[in-house]
Amino acid sequence: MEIELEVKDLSFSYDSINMALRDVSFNINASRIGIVGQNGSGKTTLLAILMGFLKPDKGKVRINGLVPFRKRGKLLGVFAPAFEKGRLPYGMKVGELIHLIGNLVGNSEDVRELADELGLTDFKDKKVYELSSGQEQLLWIFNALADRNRTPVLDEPFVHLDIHTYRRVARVLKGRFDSYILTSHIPEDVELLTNSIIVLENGDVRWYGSLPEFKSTYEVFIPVGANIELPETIADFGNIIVCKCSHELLESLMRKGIILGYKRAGVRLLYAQIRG
Amino acid sequence: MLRYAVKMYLREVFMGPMYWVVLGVLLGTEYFAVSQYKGGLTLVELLQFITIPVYIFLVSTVFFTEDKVLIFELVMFRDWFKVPLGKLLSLLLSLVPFTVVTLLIAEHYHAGTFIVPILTAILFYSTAIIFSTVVGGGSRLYVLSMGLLFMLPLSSLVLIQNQASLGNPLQGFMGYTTYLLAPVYGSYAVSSGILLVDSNMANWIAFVLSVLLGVAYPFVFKRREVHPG
Repeated sequence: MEIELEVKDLSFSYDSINMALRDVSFNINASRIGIVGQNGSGKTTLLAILMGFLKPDKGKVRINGLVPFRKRGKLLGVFAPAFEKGRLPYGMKVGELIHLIGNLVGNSEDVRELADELGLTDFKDKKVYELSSGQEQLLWIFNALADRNRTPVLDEPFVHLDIHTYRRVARVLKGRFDSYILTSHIPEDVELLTNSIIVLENGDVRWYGSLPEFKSTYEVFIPVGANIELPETIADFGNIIVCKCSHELLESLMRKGIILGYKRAGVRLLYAQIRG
Repeated sequence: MLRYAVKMYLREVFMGPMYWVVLGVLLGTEYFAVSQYKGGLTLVELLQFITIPVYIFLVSTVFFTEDKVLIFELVMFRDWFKVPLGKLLSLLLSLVPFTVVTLLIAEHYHAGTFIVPILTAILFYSTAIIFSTVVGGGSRLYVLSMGLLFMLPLSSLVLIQNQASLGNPLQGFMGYTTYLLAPVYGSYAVSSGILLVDSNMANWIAFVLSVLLGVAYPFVFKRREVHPG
């Protein structure tokens, strides 16, 4: 299923002074949409408006033709959002919550399988309020992924997850769902999992669309503290350098152990271009 | 959906041992108040200023849901109307054990005249508190509910007694307002002649207000903003 987002001159402020989103406009029609941006760039606010939790101060917003705040009830039947950082206070056990969600979805078997795949059953006897932040994050994701008929909308889903759980969630997300929206401040997350990207910065959309193929431009991973000169360096992100250089050069540097690896340039190059 | 929501919230209220310990202590104190002290004032003050507010505070904190958690519940139950309705029904049902035993104690120890004010107080406080949850969860709600359950009834007591001691018993709008904020003590004050209102009328006003708050709650909830960040 394609997700259709139409946003025109959208502004939102939490306190009438500082704008969380400022005259944001974009149109996107894609199946797997990633919203990327630094901390505080407005990703969560945009997602909350798209899901009908917040009412825009100004502007027009439509998601699949629906005005979110007005049609928030209908949206809950189509999308299943999960936000980060919410501490769940429930005294029930994780296993009981899995059972409850299974009943609510109407397909207990499938939901139990999902819980297994995500690794939730490893701590099913723990009370929900006793969970670590990573385990709790997984429970939020599980809640959003439980119903195959709803499109998951995940806000920074990988923040508290270890590398193994990250892999499990990414596999389930790509395997079970043709379409979803996710936000992240980590470029690799959206490059790996989405096919259309919105770049937010300081409450403004700086770029949106399908990620173009940047020929002969690479993100080069260098060891911590190493001082490496690369030809035509476009941007330096600390241990990742974006440069225009030949594949052969990077191969030879990697064989000599001078660089750790490299990949075709993606969102980081976009960042560099946006900032001039 | 509604059935599952009510079941989940009720489990959250009743599952901890703390609930049963506090319920036992509150009902025990009510029993000793009526069995060991003559006259109704001890029971009235105990009910109005300790047992009813403490019990309602105990059960309603489960519903002081922070916005972030509310989103989890909305996604789980996928309904903007059934989530608040489930909370309202669960809160009302969670009042049953305390209310039934309290009314039995009052009836058995010849304090039956307080049955209606006790019901009025429990219904009014609980609907007012569940309605106030539309402002959001967390510390704001704790302050609001403490004010409604503990501070305003005490203020009403002071006002009723001070005015009566000055030979100017409260009546009219002020009289009904103080009754509404402390129905059990208000009923006692009316029967003692220090509050000049019609207690039947006051109970009806409280009942109608409670119904209005309870009915309005899911509709206001449906229109409120929810902040995930």
